[in-house]
Amino acid sequence: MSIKIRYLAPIEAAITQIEIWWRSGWGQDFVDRHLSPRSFALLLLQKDPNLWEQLPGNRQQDLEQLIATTQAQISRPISLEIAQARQEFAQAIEQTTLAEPNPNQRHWGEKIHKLTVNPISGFPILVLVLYWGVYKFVGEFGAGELVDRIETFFEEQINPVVNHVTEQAIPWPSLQDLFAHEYGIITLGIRYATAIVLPVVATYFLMFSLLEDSGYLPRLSLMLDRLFKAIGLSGRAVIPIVLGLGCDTMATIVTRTLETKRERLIATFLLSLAIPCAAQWGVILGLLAQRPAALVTWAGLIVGIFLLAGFCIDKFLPGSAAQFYIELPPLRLPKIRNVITKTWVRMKWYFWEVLPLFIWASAIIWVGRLTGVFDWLISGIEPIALALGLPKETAPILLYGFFRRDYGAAGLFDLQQGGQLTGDQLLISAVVLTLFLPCIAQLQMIIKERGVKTAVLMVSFIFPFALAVGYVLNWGLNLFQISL
Amino acid sequence: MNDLSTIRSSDPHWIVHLETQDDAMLRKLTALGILPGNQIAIEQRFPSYIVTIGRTRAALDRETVQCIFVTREQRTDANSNSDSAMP
Repeated sequence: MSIKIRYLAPIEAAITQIEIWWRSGWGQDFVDRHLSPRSFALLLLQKDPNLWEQLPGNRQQDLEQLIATTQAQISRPISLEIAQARQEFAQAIEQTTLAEPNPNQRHWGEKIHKLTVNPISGFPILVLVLYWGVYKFVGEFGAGELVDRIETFFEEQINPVVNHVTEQAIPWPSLQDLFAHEYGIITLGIRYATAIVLPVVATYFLMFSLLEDSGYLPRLSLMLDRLFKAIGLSGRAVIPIVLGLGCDTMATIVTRTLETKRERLIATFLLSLAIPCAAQWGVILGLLAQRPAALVTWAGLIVGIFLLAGFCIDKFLPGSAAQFYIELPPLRLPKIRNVITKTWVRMKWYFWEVLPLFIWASAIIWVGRLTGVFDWLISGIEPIALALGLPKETAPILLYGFFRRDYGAAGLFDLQQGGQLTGDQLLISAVVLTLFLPCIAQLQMIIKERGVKTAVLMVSFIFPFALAVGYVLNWGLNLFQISL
Repeated sequence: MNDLSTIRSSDPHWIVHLETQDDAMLRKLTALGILPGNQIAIEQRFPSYIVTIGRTRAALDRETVQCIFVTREQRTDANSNSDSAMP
């Protein structure tokens, strides 16, 4: 059923004229012909940029003239008149059809709304939501507990079988390494995708869908808008940035929801520089847990760098500041069925999107090791590691950390278990790894979303910057003879 | 006629004019029902502005609020849309 809204007479006349033009062949110019001539006319009268672009020059002229004569007959802008007519129409429908909800129910929703947006109660609620939702549920349960269990299962049950079968089936050890052993496609690539990424992503999407369906997300955005303005973003960017604490690759995709190119660029940059993903901060928290001073220094440094980098890029990047306007839907109890369906669909999409990237990473490691390129790179990184005050055993970790940031962190974990690192060294390597180049999956996503040029620029800043921070940190710790 | 950020009371005011050249923003605001002839009320000012327009509730930043011009009394030239009063 379609309902026709009556607009002001001059607008209706213009619509009729465009409908005539449409029938005389204008319709052929457009890719999307599902629109009715009337909708098409209304969009053109409002100079819809997508349709306007597809219109040949002489027709644009005809249309300009029609718009000008129509505009001359009415006092307010055409698009405003159209919006007004629609608004009135919607209100008329509302009055005849809407039944007031149960006042008690509305009352509760209102009370909770007030609590979530009032600065006095709102900020503590925000901290609690992030603490329980992100830190406890995604970080400790998803990235900690679940990852451990699935990884152990893989290492004990699946990898030995894969290794054994590969050794039987393929006689050449170097080819065996492509599929099995330490860095194989199955033993590393698939294991990482299912044991590390899947639990993190599953818990993350579950939490995110709950926040989304309850209507809390836009409230989170409005609470943080002012803070985010200081770093060139708007409250909207809360969503990708918080998502980044789950997985930076996924968050880089989600920067699409930001309004301007400038915001997308700033968000992508901050995600790759200073937002550790769940897999990564999960391991780092584990590493530094026994050294609270090092943990606090790490967190302080990363937060400081996040804010400072955002502040600087906002100052120097041309373009106007981000604007913030968002609708606040009523708060509701999420429907479990919807939440589960959403989580499942997103997980499936994400898994198939990133699985190939993990397989590629394994294949690249295989080629790198086979050709000796990696040994050569590692021997190049060793002096850098030494300059940062780190043992040379951290060189391969820094290199492999590029393929998976969390893998780098996991490598550190092994070194720490062996008692090979001091508190200072743990702190320096945790800071460098957090700031370091994004994992290869994220790099591929930056190239896809922002283009090669931007990706190269970002990478060529982040790489030296991470090392410089590590160097200065080491120098400072030595200077003041601090040992954490 | 004052911009909305200068209004201290939480009573609904009539929107008279939107002062912006930015088409995308104008579209966004009209989609929220923020357009001349409608009524708007401020619920909260910090950390962001929260406004209600009919049954719609929205959060806006200061810059956006400053481009919405309102009056306390309905203007006769604004619009004939007098039945869009607040619930």
